[in-house]
Amino acid sequence: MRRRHRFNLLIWLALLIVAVLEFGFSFAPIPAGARPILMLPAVLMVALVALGYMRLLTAPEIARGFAIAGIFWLTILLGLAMTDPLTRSVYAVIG
Amino acid sequence: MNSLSPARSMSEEVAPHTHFQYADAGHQANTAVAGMWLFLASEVLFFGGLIAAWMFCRHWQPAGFDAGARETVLWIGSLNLVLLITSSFVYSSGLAFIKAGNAGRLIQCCVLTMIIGTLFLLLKFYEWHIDISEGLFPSSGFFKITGADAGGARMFWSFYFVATALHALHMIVGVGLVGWIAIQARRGAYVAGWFTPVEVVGLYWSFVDIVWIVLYPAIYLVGRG
Repeated sequence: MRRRHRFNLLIWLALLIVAVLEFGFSFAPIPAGARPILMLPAVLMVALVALGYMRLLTAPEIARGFAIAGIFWLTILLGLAMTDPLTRSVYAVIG
Repeated sequence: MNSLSPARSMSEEVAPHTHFQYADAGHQANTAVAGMWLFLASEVLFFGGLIAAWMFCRHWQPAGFDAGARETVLWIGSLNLVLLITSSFVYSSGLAFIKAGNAGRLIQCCVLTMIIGTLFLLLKFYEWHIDISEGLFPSSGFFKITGADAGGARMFWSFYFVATALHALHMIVGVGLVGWIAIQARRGAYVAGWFTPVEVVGLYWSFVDIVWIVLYPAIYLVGRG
């Protein structure tokens, strides 16, 4: 049990460190177009919670399958939603 | 209760929490955990629609969207992030305690988790009060941001209120579930060998934490250039 508590504490500390770094980086002079890069620490934090507190690696196989399916369909959702805005050419109106 | 009752009674003597349709307690626990993960996968797509809206709107109106984001109350959003991360840690500790058979500690962890969750909600309500009193509600009336950026800013604040309200709704459900776990634990429902509901509610609580982890930079940080 002590090992599990130590593991939980380490995950909490890692989450806090990433959160502080994320907060600090948000004040860096990043161009507006590149600022969505600030979402990357959140991806790391999501992985820490899913693997640490939600014990995804030791979950039943079918549960891991559901988790992977969720990520897969989220990728499809976000990918298709952004296909149009990222590939459309906007031409200036002449005259 | 019928002709199956004698068999059910025998089963209850061996594993009192195992329902008849499962081969054993492990099978039942795995099914419950998998069921919660299936629900969470559907929730990923539910909140995924919101994130898609954020990406789409910011792509077309970056200046207005960021003008709106700069008006958010950063200290409340950041404090709430720390609170939710801590609440997941506390609840996970409670799960570790009940695995070792310590129901008293589980109850304490549940109560602390509920206090942190309630504090999060109170801060969120206070933040909404500040936002609305400053004229940031995207209604047809007065809106603080004017000029060329007004349209994008209105889109940002529409996203903000929808996303935070949906998250708060999930938080209220979560606080209720953790309270239910605490009551059940007090009645002696959980022991070292059986604590599946504690585990399942923990998955839900951590997912609500994850949603805020994703919303926090999208709302408070990305637009603060």
